[in-house]
Amino acid sequence: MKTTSKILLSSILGLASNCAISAEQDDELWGDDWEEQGTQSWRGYLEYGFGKRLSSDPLFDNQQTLNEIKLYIENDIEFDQVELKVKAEGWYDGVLERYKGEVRELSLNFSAFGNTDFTLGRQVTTWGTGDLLFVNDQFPKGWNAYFNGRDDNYVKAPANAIRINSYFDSVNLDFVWTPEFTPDKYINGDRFSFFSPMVQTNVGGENVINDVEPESKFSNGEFALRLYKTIDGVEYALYGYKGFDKRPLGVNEELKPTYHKRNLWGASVRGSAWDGLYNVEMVYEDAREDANGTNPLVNNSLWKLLIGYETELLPKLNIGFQYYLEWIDDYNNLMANSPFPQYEPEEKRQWLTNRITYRALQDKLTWTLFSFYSLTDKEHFLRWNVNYRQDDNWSYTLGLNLIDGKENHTFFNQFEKASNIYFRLRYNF
Amino acid sequence: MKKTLSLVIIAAAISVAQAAQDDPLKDVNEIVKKAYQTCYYPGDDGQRKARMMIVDKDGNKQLRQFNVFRKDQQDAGDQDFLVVFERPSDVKGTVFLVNKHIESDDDRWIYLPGLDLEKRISASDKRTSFVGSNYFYEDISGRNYRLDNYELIKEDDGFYYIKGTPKEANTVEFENFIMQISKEDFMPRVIDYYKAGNKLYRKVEIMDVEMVDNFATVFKSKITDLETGGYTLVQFKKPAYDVGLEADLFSQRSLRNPPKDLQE
Repeated sequence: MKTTSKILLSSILGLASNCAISAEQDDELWGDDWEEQGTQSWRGYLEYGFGKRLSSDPLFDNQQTLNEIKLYIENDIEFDQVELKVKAEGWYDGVLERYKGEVRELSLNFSAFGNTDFTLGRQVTTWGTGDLLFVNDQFPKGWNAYFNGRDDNYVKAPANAIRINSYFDSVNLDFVWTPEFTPDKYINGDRFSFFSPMVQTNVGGENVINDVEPESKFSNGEFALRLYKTIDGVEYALYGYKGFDKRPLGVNEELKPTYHKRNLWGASVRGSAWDGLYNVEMVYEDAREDANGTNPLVNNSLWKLLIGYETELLPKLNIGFQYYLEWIDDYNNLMANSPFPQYEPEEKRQWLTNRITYRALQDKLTWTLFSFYSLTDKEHFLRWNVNYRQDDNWSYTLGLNLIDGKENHTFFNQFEKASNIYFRLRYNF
Repeated sequence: MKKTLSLVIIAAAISVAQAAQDDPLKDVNEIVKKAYQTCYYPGDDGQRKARMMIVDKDGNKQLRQFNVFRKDQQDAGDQDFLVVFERPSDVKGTVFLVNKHIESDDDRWIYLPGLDLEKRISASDKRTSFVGSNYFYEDISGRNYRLDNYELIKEDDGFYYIKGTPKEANTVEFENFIMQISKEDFMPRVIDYYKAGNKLYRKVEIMDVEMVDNFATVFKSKITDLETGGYTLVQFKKPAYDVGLEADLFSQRSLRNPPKDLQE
C-alpha cells in the first residue's frame, strides 16, 4: 500500500513538475533481484476461454464454440550440452465435455559438428512466408483454432519428428523427418459442421470422419527439406516434401476418407522494398496416386501462389495484404470424372487477405483484424480480435470470427454456422 | 590581379574553416560523431544483460529482461544486434535479430517460439516502442547521426549542449532535441525531445555511467514520456567489450538456437 501510494505520488509529481523521479525512488521499483538464467523454473499460464455461435447450428445441441479452462506449462532443462524442452497442457473442454491433455513439445536439442542443430522428439515446426496461409508448410495444423478463438499458437499442431538444421556458407539446410504420418487436426464435425457433397448439406454434431491413415512404415514417413539463404537481406528458399495430404481429402476403395500420397516442390523469396516487406511463394503439389487427375477418389494436383506485402502505414498501424491463388491441375479430367461436379471448387480459386494491426496504450492494447475474401467464391472470413495485456500476468482477448458467403459448399462458407464471438482471460506465471 | 587576390582570400577562408573543423571542441559535428561512437560503437563487439521496468501513468509495472549482443561491421557504420529475451514468462525465448544498415533499410527478424515462426519485421517503424517500453527501436540501435543537423547552443565546464534538428521533419515525431553531452567521456547525460511549440514531451536520462575496459558504459537510464506520464527504467549488467563474438551469432541460426546466456 505504502509503495503504491509512493508510486502514485511520484507519478503525479513527475507529471506536475515535468521532471524525473529521483534515482533512489526508481531503484525501489525493481523489488527483486535479477532472476539469472540457469534458475530453471516452470512457467506458463492458466486460461479460461468462452465462445458462442452467432446463429445456431441445428446439428448441435450446445451452441458454444469454446468453453475451456486450460493449464499450460513449459520449461527448458539443461544438461551439459543437451537441452530438454517441455511444453504441455491439460484442459477441460466444456464443448466436447471431456478432459484433454497434450504434449506440444518434448524434445532434446543439441548442436554438433559446429554447424548443425538437432531437435529430436515432439515439436512444432513452421516454415514459409505466408500469414495464416500455408503454401510449403506441410507440418500439422490445428484447423479448429482457425475458427474457435484459441490463441494463434494453436493453429500449429505438434508432431514427433527429427529436425536437423545445418548451416553452411553456401546454403543452409533444414530437414524434418516425421517417421509416423501425422495429419492435421482437421474439422471432423465434433465442434463445427462442414459440407458433405454426398448428402449435399452440412454434417456434424459429432466426429463424423472415420479416416484411414497410411500404414506405419518407413516409406510412409514424411520427409521435408528446405534449402535457404539470405543474400543482402533477401531471403531465398527452396522446399521439398514427400508425404501425404494432411487432411483426409481422398476416399479409399471402401469409400472411407483417407490420405493420398502427395509430394510438394516450391520456392519463396522475402525481402524489403518500398518501406515494407514483400514475399512471393509458390508450390506444386503433386498427387502421386492420380497423375492425370482422372481418379475422382484422389484430390488433384495443384499449384499455389502467394504474393504478399506488409508495411507500417502510420506509427503503430501495420497493414498487410496477400493475394493467394490455388490452380487445380487437370481440371477438365476432374470435372469429367467427379460424381459431384457442381460442388467441385473452381479451377483457379483466388483470395485476398488483409491484416491490420494497431497497437495502442504503450502496446498493451492490440487490435488484430485479419480478413479473408475469396474473389472466386464471393465469401469472406473476418478473424478479428482485440487483446489487452494488463501487465506481465493478466491478459484479456475479445474476438469475432465471422464467416459469410453466397454458396453453402465453398471453402470458408461451409463454416458459416461456426461464426462466433469469444473471449479469453489468461494469467501468465 | 584582382582575381588572384580574391582566390587567395577564398583559400584563406577555407583553411580557417577547416582549422575550426579540426578542433573537436569547436566543431559540433565532431562532438556528435564522438558521442555516437561512444554510445553505440564501443569496441568491435559487446554484450550485456539488460532489464527494463515499464511503468505507466497509473503505476502499473511490466518487466522485460534480455541479453543484448552487438557486433560492428565498421565504426559508425553497419552493425548487427541480437536480443534474447529471458523474462517475462510469455516472451521468454523470443529473439530479435537486427542487421543495421546505414545506407539502406535495416533487416529485422523476430522469432516466436510458440509458433516456431521466423517473422520478418518491417524496418520502417524505427520510432515505435521497443517491446512496449518507452524506448524506441532507434534508441536501442542508435539514431543515425547523419539524419539530423546540429548546432552547439551552449557549453559549460562539464557539458556541450547541442540541438539536433531532423533533415527530414516528416519522418519523425519530434521537431528538435537537445543533448547534454559530457565533455569528459562524451556520453550524453540528458536528451530532451521537443514537439512543435517548443513543448518538451520526451526525456532520456543517463543516470549512471562508469568506465569498463576504458569505454564509458551506461548502467542506468530512464526514458520518460511526459505526454502519457509513463516511463521506462533500464539497468544494465555484466557489460563486456571485444568479447570476440562470431559473425555467425548474428545469423538466422540464432533465432531458433540463441545463446543461453552472455558469452564467457
